[in-house]
Amino acid sequence: MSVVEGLILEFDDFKVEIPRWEILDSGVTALSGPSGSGKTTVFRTLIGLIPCPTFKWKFGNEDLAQLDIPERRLGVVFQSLELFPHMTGRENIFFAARARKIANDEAKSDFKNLIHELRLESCVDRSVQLLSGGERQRVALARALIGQPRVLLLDEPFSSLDIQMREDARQLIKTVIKKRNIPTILITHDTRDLEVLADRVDRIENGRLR
Amino acid sequence: MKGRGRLIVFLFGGVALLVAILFARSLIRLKNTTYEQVTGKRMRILAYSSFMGSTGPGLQLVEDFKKQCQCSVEVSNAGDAGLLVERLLLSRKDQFDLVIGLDQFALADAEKKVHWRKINLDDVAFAPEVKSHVSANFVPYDWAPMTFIYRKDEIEPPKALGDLLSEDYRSKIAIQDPRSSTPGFEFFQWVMAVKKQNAAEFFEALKPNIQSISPSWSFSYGLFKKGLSKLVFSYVTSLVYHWEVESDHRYQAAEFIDGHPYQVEFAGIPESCTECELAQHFLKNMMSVSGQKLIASKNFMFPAVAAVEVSSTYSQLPKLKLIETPVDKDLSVWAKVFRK
Amino acid sequence: MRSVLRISLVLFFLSPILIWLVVIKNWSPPGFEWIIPLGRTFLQAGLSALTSVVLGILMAMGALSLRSPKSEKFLEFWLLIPNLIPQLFLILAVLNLSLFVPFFRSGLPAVVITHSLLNCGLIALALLRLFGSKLSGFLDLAVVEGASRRMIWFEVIVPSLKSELWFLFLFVFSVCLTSFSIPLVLGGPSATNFEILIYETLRLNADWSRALYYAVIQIVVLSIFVYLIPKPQWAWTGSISRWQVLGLKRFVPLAIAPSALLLAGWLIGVISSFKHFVPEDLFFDPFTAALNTMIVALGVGFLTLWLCLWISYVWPNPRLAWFMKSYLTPSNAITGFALLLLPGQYFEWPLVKMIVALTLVSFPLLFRWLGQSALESLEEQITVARTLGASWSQILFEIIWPERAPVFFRMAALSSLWASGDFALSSIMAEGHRTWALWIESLINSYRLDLASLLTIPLFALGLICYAFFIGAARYVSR
Repeated sequence: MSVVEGLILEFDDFKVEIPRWEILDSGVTALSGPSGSGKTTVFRTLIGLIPCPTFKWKFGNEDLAQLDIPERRLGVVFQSLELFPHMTGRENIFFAARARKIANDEAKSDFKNLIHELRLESCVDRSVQLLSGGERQRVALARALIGQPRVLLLDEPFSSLDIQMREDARQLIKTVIKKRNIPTILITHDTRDLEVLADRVDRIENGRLR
Repeated sequence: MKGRGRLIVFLFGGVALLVAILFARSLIRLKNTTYEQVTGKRMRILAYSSFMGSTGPGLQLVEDFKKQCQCSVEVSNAGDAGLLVERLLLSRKDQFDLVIGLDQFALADAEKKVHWRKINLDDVAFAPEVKSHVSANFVPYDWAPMTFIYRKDEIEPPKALGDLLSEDYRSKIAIQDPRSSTPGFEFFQWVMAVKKQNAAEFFEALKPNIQSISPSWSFSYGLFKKGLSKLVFSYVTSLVYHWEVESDHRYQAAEFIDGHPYQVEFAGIPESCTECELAQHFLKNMMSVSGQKLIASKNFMFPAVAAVEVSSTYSQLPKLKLIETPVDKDLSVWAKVFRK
Repeated sequence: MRSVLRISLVLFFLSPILIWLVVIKNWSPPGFEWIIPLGRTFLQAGLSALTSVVLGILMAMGALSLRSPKSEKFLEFWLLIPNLIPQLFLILAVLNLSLFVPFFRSGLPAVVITHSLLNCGLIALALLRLFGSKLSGFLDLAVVEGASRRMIWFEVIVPSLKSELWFLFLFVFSVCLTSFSIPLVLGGPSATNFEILIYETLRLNADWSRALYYAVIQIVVLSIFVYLIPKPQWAWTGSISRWQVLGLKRFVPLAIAPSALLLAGWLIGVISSFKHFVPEDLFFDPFTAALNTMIVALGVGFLTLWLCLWISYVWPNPRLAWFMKSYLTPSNAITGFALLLLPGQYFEWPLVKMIVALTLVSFPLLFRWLGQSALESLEEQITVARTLGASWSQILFEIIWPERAPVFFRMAALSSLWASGDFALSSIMAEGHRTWALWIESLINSYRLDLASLLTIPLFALGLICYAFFIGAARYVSR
């Protein structure tokens, strides 16, 4: 179990106050709540995009909150995916491998496995601008996973997909996460996401965990 | 080559090429200054643009001097003569050995703001018009009376300053800005000398007759030559150019009963000079008979040395009555009238 | 390391002011004598902006009736001609035309008219773009409802675009506030611009401290205006040829007029020069002048690219973004004279100083116009890359530059083109190193407008070569 402590942020008209939050060491911990409940704020604080002096994140013997963003070694899939539009799927994924300084052979081997698991063989060499929503989402996930992250963070990962594609995507991601055994934090307000993926659900309302 | 490599090659390569060109040109410049390599001496002159321009006497004077002294001469262009002191102040103190082009109005300012070296030219016989202007620190090298130039088939010339206010000259008069142009300042001081307390009223009344107030003499003379103005304030010796070079005798000088201002041009050696002896030697050349003839023929001004024979055209110029004008640089009347 | 580079970048932009702070020994604070010139500057800039906007609206009305899909590109180019060419061409054209219309030979009318000729095409084009991005729904409906053109223009279009028109007014106002070469040549004895007051204080009075105080006042005033200008909400894309029905044919001559006047003025000079040209007129060495021009222009382009690289590496940073948004070069005169004061008057140092000065003056404007939004739109991608563990140099070379190289090279191309035609700033530092534009300026100073106009042909060719060089280089680098 990794533990988040002291996640307290004050804005003009809103406050996020999470004194303690336990995250599973394996499986999916979901943070769910309505719009404006503070989910995205918590997400961005965990990544390191919002500074929070009182925040601690004990992961094993380390406090991830004391580390710079790249050093936290998190795998992140943003809601908007943010694939690099001038690259192909392959280039996006290998970008992350080089960023993490993964050895070339290891990266190639892991890449092969990932594109097989995520069914990207037919599209990974196309420009990401030509990919469908589902393909783009899977490329984003592959990019997050190739860096061998200690924790995977998913922010509303299926929001841009239509209903049928979402169901396929959920099952696929569930399989991949289980196979790689990476602790995952899922931010969502979709109940079906929680049903399929979450091993534990924590609700957030008005900036506080219920 | 990948994108990153190409970018680096382009950025570094481009800059390296430019640096190489600049370096090569510097080497060529050094190589061409063979005289400096002989003596190791380099003299630096600050002059105004038309003196050192392709049509001025400066280039020839410099070339002759370089052969004589076996040294290098670097010339800096101050732009307008009226800005020599300011340009000097904007430079590093030890930058120049010789300053050419100060007029009598700039001397007070020059003495106040810069230290000058005493010049030894005892054996020069100056023309009577400039004798009173000779000082220990500055040497006059040419002079000319000033007046309005016109074309005789276009208008009747004015005979007094007050005539300039006539309706016949509505939008016909070209003058220069006294803040940036020495002729402009001469005109201003002329009016101040003649009209005294009524100078401001005079300028106010003159306004409708002014076709342009140009930042430089050359701009206003250009307007005049183009026919856009009918009268331009200039040197009486401008007629020499029209009569000799253009063979155009339509150009004449107006003669004023009030008397005429005149401009004397000076050279001086800043105390911070490093090649002071060379500067002194250059001045001697300027004041020699050949130097004075060259200056008169290219600058179209009277020589400062008496009894130097110049072209006969000079003797055909009208003999204008000269008056002294104040030398202070108070332009408050100008600002009151023209900078509203 | 990035912090050091960021601070160095800011210091580089502030260097003209820092040089003056080191050099000035005696400080003489100004009184209130600057208030009237500032008021005159506001009047000039206000009239210029108002005339530009009004003309721009009328030109847009005329341009609409001209537009067809085939002519769109050409019309856009035609409208932007005054902005694309160096200002030297504009000034020459106006001086040539003033032979026939003495009203705008010098003084406030000349400056206002020239500024308006410069900016009205840009306004017209901006308005035409607005139709596509903001008004398409309204316009379709109004046309379908059968509203008259007059009703549509004055009851739909103009009222809907109030904030955009206000943005355009303020934009032109702030540009005219700091205009230098146009009021320098055409302004006459009354300083029609605060920039000219600073220049005169330095050049005519050599009163350094007072000039610096004036420059600071100008920066403060400009910063206020920069914050007043709202961020435009519209996209600069979209074809509007389906609204040709809204065009008013009687304004077609107005749509064509500014660029046509410019070309006509220039041609008058060129044709006149053929009548009077003698080989002795070429009183300078054209090869050296051309080489100096190319060195300066290409140098400015390369320095612009290096600054883009530098800024990209230290981006994003909110303080830097605020600085680049607010910062305007102290003034052309302050920049030019500051560099003149630095040691190095011999060999090729004046050319190096000209390169630095011209870049310092053009880069903030170009960055605000093109570069800042280009970098800001990448911030999310940069964030993702950081979370993936990418280093800053990996982000620079694999994300920012591949995606934004075309924008940066366009900035370099434009700065190079403008630098090739600069005379006002270059003349301060030039010493004996004359560029082609400086020789043309000498001719303008002697009122040899005909020969000056003729010599702009090779100058334009030189500028286009530099422009094309950087645009071509973008393709090479991006391959």
